[in-house]
Amino acid sequence: MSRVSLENVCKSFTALEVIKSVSLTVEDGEFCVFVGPSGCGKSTLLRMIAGLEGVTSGRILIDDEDVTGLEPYDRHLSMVFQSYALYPHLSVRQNIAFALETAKQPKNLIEQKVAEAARMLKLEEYLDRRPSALSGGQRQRVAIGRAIVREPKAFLFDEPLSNLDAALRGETRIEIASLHKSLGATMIYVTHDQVEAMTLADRIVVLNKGQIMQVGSPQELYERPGNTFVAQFLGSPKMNVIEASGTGRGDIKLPGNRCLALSEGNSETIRQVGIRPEQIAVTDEADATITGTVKLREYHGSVLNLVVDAGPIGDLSVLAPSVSGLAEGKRIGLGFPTEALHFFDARGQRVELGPGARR
Amino acid sequence: MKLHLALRWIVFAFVALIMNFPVIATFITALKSPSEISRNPSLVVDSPTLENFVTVLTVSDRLNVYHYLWNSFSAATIGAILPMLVAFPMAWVMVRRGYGRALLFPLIVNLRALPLIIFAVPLYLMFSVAYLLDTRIGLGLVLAIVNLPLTLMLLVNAVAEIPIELEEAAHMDGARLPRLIGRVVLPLCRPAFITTFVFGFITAWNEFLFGLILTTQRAVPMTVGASFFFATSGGGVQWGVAAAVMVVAALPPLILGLVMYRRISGSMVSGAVKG
Repeated sequence: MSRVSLENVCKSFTALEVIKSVSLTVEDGEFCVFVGPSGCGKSTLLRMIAGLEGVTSGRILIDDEDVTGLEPYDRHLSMVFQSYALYPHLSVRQNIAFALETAKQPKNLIEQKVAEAARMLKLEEYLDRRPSALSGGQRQRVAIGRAIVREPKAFLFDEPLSNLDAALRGETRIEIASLHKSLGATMIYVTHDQVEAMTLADRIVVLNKGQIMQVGSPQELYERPGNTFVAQFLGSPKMNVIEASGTGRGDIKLPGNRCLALSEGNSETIRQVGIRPEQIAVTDEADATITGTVKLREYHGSVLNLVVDAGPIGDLSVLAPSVSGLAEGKRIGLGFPTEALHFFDARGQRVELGPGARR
Repeated sequence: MKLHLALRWIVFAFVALIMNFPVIATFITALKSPSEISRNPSLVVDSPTLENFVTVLTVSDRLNVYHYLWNSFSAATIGAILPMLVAFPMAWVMVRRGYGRALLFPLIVNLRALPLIIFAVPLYLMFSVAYLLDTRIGLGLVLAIVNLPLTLMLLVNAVAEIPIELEEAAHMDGARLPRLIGRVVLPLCRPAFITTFVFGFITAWNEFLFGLILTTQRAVPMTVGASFFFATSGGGVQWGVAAAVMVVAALPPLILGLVMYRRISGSMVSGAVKG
């Protein structure tokens, strides 16, 4: 298993710049997830690591060896495709054995490794079937089996779960996580699904418009998003971001002349305030400085997903316990606990008030 | 409902009869004796005979139907397989690398639109210089060119139908070009190869013009050879023998088409990607 590094990697298709100078190191044995909206370049980045796309400038290193100019078959990586890409004319057994046969491994070793992979992925009964006779989940497991038998330097996953139905997706997600544990392999995983990113990753790389927005553990990114993009991309429903202006006296002015008091800290540069829907407290209208009307109410079983019209502040999404029994049209008060607030400057970058800055 | 169905079948049968009338008439004529042909033009044969077929299948000093069949068979086989050998690498490069897709591909495919007769004189001169006149290989080469446009088109479509992820997956599995082509692309193109072979063989078998121009004796194909049977003993046309030789000449491509029919359609790539 190996370390994969990108050094100032750029990619453009004629005039279009899809990857703008990305530098990143995926450590040995790490599960790294590239996440971002569609068109952010995450798949392109993965395909560049695989060698399926050329690099316009910059270098790609595997274990400190420069592989930028190498063809995919010389990089010793495995890839699981979104569409599975199984060889339709070969049986499951031949599909899994393909890479080993290509590498001219001895027959008995191939048999042994295929049997082991089949057992691990519960494919033993299907070894002699063609891919067309398998269900989507089984096909995905064959694709994973094909990737693991050759013991690659790293695994690349390109949205492997997006063609599965919701129940199967959850199951397969857990299988991939346990596979990572048992193999201890370096894995790079591309997804647009933040739940997959949060649950699988040791480290998440959030990409937008071909640039890295932030790199960090799921907890870091969720609790201390570096900018409004990351703040709003992770978490569902997404974080509320409200226009605000720091007064420089430790206070922050919200639209409609509402004030949020902070004990100290340099609040001058603050132009936006973020708060997650689940951290907004629903109170009585009379007790609150900020009030609003429930505009929309979605019942999710354990929680209610509300859209509250908070007048000059705009629409806020709020998660409330379903026992609260809030109905559409009801006036409520909203409490913003200061410790739950995130502050951003005019360019959307995070502003730190420093420890002990909050009341 | 029953009546509706019966009516439909009657219409079908009627149309099929009209469409196939020349074939039926030829087959029936082949079963009639010369004397019956002159007095009985109906579709019912009074005294069916295989005499005409015996005449055709008997080797005489002048006519040898087996020789023509063999010439046609070998030339048509070359004419069907050679363009596949040439067009397959071309098709892959056009689809996957994009070379020649803009100009060469439409150019070759449109060769089909040109009347073949315009090639006749230059080809004859070239062939006479290259000692290819009246050879099976020479005829096969020309038939290969006749078949090239359709072959290239079918194979380009076949390669384009293979999802690119399959080739990428093979690359990721460590396969270099020879193994990628041999183990993934070629097997997936098999239905296209069969289709191409059948169409190419039939086209080549039925080709008449170049068979007439470029051969005189040793390499005369069945289509041209069949015309030799029409007037065996001077004067009028022997309709019975002519019909019999046409039936014999039509059988090989007909059998090939029927045997291969099930394999012509159908795709290999189901189950490759998605569900």
